[in-house]
Amino acid sequence: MEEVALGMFPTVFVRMTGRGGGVREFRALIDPGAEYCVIPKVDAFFLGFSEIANDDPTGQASNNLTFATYNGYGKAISIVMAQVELGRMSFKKVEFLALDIPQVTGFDVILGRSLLQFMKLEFDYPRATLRIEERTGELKH
Amino acid sequence: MKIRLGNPLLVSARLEGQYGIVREVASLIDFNAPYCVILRQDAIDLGYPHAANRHPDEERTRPDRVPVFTSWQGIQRGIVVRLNKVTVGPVVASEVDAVVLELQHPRFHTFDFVLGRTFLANCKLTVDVKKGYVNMR
Amino acid sequence: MSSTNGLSSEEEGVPVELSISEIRRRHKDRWVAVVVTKRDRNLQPVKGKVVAEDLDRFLLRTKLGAYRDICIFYAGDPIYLPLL
Repeated sequence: MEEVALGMFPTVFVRMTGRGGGVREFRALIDPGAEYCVIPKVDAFFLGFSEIANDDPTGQASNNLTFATYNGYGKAISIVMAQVELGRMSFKKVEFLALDIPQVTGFDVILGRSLLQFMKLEFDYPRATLRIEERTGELKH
Repeated sequence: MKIRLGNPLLVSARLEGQYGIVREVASLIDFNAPYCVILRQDAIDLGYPHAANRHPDEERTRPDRVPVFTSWQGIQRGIVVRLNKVTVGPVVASEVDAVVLELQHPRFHTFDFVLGRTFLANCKLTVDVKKGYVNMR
Repeated sequence: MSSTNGLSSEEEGVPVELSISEIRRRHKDRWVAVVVTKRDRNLQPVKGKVVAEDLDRFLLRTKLGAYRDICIFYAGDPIYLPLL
């Protein structure tokens, strides 16, 4: 993928295919500081992840995660998206958290390291551009 | 400057405030934070007593210093302080705006400062998760 | 294009193909659902037809039951800067 304008925030359109083959496309915020990708619960449900609807406090799903931000803690269910397409790049089995970002931010989806691990990103703040390249090879820890 | 990509992404930053007072603190790099974030006590120690003011009081006299944000906790306000200099390795930025926001669980966080776009505005950052590093220049 | 009653396609409720920037201008500060009709070489949407829009992102979803493949975004800038 070539350069995209950085704008106020680094965003790209990304297409997601869930379990049932349904597709949703969103304008997503790119955040290398985020460990996981984030998708709204209602869209995760639409894409075939019915476990999102489980709000029984006594029977927690095994994929229930607690995450930390510097603004506090939260809980979300982890799901594995069948396919994520970003530009001409396509990735399978990407981990997402089903979580509702405050609506007033204007974003539904955040792309974190669970997807960005497959890419090399170059943030050029003075020129206000973002370059995204696909990476191949094994993940180094 | 090459930074190992940890979780969270931490570096050591030197903050220079008024009257030459310096604090060196562990800092989180946040690519999308509009401002840097500083603890209230650090802002006061660095020579910015107005960081101790309540938001409504500060807003009455200096509304330009009380921006409004959206966070996971909802709508929040913070008080802006202008740090004379912020240094991360060889990267130096002057006149950096930082906002005073209290961390929800400060004892559990391993950092005391957040480097946002008011510092990163003059940087070029390359993130390579596969190789495990962030290059800042 | 006008029909016999003098209304344009858009006035009659038929979605019209617009550029993404035009969609952002016309539906400013609202959540929109778009069927994408044209993409650039990076496969980013360039043009589309707005099939639903709402001030609330969740109410917008209730209008999308018929669509298996849809693009959703906020046609505006954040009111307050996000610090997540």
